[in-house]
Amino acid sequence: MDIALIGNPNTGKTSLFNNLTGSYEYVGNWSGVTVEKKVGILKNQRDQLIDLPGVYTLNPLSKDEGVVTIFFLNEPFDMLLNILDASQLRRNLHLTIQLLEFGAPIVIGLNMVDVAGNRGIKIDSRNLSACLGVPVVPVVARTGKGCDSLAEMISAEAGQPDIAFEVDYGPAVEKATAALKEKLAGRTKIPARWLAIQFLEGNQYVREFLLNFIGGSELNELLEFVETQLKTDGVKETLEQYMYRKRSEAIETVVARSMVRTEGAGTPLSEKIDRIATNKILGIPLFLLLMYLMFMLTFDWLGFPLSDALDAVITGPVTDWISAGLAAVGASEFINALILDGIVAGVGGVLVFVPQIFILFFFISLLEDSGYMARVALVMDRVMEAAGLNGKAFIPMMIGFGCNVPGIMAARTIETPKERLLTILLTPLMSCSARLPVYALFAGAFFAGDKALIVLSLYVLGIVVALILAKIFSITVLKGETSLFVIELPPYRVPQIQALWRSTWEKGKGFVKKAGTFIFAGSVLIWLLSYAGPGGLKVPMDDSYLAMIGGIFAPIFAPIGFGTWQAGASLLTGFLAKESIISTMNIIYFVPDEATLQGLLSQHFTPLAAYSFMVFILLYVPCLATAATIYKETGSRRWTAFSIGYALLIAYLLSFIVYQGGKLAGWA
Amino acid sequence: MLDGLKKANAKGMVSEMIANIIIGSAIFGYAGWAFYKFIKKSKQGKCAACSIKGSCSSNACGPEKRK
Ligand SMILES: Nc1nc2c(ncn2[C@@H]2O[C@H](COP(=O)(O)OP(=O)(O)OP(=O)(O)O)[C@@H](O)[C@H]2O)c(=O)[nH]1
Ligand SMILES: [Mg+2]
Repeated sequence: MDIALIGNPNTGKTSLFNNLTGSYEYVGNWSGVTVEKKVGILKNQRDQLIDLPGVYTLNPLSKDEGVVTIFFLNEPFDMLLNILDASQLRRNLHLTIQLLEFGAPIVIGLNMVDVAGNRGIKIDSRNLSACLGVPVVPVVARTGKGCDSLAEMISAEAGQPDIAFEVDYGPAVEKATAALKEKLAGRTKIPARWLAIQFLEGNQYVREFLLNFIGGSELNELLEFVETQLKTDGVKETLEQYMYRKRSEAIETVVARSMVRTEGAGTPLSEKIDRIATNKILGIPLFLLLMYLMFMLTFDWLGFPLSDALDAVITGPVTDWISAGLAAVGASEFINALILDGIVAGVGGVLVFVPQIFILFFFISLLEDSGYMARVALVMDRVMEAAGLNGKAFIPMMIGFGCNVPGIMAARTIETPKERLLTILLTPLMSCSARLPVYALFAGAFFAGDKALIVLSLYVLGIVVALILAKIFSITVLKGETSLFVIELPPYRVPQIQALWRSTWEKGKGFVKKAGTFIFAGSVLIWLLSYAGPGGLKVPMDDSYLAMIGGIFAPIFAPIGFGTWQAGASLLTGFLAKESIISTMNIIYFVPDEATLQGLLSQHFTPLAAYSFMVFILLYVPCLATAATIYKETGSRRWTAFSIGYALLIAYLLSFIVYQGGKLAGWA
Repeated sequence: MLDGLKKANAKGMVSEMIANIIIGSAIFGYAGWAFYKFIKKSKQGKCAACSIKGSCSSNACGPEKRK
């Protein structure tokens, strides 16, 4: 049996999905976390549960909402599991009614009863069930309360009795329904009444669907018929507004029968916090301050000492064990060098940063789960609008701080094609976690006193460059309409420790895994290239193949401060994955530990060149996975190439300004 | 006596060589495989470090199909 999970955004569908299927999908406290459908197996091992993006109505506005409508029209499913947010019952019921009109078996999960309770709202699920004529099960998806009885209900309700509830849209709509039904003559299984209602409300997907069976002119006639009929009845609203009102009236009667408000609790805490968090003047500085604190923790207070300790373990005991082991089996010089100078240096050099990466991910998870994300979008809106985007586009960019790939996917929630494309193109400028090790190393070597400030400056630079480019692109290559900024401000939630850890781990484990797979492989290759040269094996590194390859690029990078073959070679590997920049450097400047590496770096870079290098790394090119995602999401080779090309250009330009400008100012 | 020692030594060298070959080919074999897998995965837009990997099959129901 296929069960589709459907409901308004941010009502806890994915939380419930995770609970019922035992999986771990992306959960966050803002609207539009899930952007594509996900399939999971229920714990009874029989039924499939399909998680869908949240929608307010089946009449879609943005691409992720379209996923749901397309799903409805084209894919078979046996049952609907509709999730309602008990604290927002009125609004949630609009979707429920559209689902009931569809006529498929349906079970309602009444979620967030804990939140509703705190606000003095009590919902009588029995009365609600009686009103709608479908089973209603109260749950708390976050803790799993009630999920078992919901699962039982789902299994029990497969063949459901017909639904009693119906909204009275008036005679004109019903006539149109009858007419449509006649025209369709049973050629589709989808109920004619649902199709008629959706079509009259202006659902483009349904219109297209109907065009498969009925001519366009006939459809227009139908529409005109209802419109004139309503006009003669004295209705002044548009058809869409009229249907919305009819539905709202029906909802009022349902709510009156099932909702009890116990007491009006004072100003909710969320509103109090928002007076500061979304304050016009304080909002942005507050966000920057929080970022600064985050970097202080990542680089100074907590992350750095942890990384240091880890570094000591890797370069100390671990290396000793490995060399002892190698000596015991009598490994040759070649194998010895391969493992110690190649793999241990390359993989170890990346693993050292695991504590810092996890701290960063912890904060990103906190940002996602607390509800602050939507506030930042709101605060950034004015700046974003000046750049031809709106605040909502900042959400994908913030997700991009973790990894650019999901950031780009998250751009699906943006309504207008122009803004969506802009967001996709600019998200790679957000400094992802893989770039962090480079900053950690260089900031530690050259700016030990103000690591956090330097890193913050890079993150902010990424945002500023993205905004400036957004402005430039939107008045040159990408003209088009801008959408209105509407954003849901979800209530703040204190994240559960367990969920927070889970989501940090899910993000961080990829980094560890990558170190064991790709970085391992890359280290072997890079080491081999540095060990071999035209002169044979075991050549001095400056005469190796790697030096030759990197040397090609050295002259190009000279004007921006790092015209060495070493820099050229590491930047080249960074296109595959940004982490490999660090592992390559570790192999090239092979030294026993991080501290010595930092010392060695200061011979090759001046502080100004180091900053220029970090700027270049921040901007220079999306990694392979990101480029592939851009291609997938835009469906265009041209835009993918553009995203790579402009990034290289802008990176070079900015590094040039930084380096040459800094030299003029006498910093070098 | 001397002969025996020589033999043992030779034996040791052989087993050392075998160990070296095994370690070497295991490393290069694994590296090649990991590299291949990574490139294949990345090209699909799956990012090993991203939180929604494993379900990135975005075009399965992508609205792009409509265009
Ligand atoms: N207090 C409380 N919080 C909940 C409950 N269920 C979910 N949440 C929280 O609500 C937020 C949204 O949860 P999600 O599961 O991502 O919601 P969703 O419906 O999948 O959201 P979209 O994918 O954006 O449509 C998260 O912060 C959850 O931790 C609940 O029953 N009680
Ligand atoms: Mg979701």
